[in-house]
Amino acid sequence: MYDLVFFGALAGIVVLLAVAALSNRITKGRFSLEVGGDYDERQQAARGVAYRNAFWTVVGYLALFQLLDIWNPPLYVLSFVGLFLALTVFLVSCIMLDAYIGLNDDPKKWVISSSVLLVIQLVGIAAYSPTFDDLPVANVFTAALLAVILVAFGVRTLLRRGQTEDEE
Amino acid sequence: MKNLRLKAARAAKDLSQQALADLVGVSRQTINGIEKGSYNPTIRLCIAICKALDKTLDELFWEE
Repeated sequence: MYDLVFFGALAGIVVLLAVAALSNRITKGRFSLEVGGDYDERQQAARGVAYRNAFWTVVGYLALFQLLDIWNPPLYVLSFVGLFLALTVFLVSCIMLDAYIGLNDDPKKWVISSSVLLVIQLVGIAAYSPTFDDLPVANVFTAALLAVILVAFGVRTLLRRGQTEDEE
Repeated sequence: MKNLRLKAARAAKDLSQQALADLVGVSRQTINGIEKGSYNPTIRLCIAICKALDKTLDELFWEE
């Protein structure tokens, strides 16, 4: 029932969480899964709004598909779509509210790492040609999420270009 | 409501928004939001800003 791809994906998630927690232990002195820098009070409030938006996105998505029963993909695809929809809403909300980059964080770091991850995902998609019937479809969702993040950064930068700090 | 007194006090000290933000430990966008009136800071942040600009709470944040 559970093949090697499933356990590989599970192992990848566990490793990611462990690396995040260990990284925070080394850099911030505490075990935490929160990545990124510290946030000021306005950013924390904005992130609260973003979390709320993501929560209602998941609720709406699940309600829609439960009520309409219009799509019956494999369960993990249904879950991934909801998960990535919520993540997209959260991340775009944070980026547009200037609450994605922490106080001591460098925006370029996030843009570069997102771009690198996007390229890696595209390589995986090209190599496996995933469909909705197999687990590597997660590469497609991840690539879409990363692309949306980069577009949101670009839109935010364009909107603020040419404005002085007092005109924002 | 815009906080022009904060903006004037910051300008009097020849501080940019980023410089004031660094002094009080917040992001530049937060200082910008306070000056534009789109964000209401906590009393803790108000006090930190007053200390950084050598002003009182009344001088910077009391409604006229």
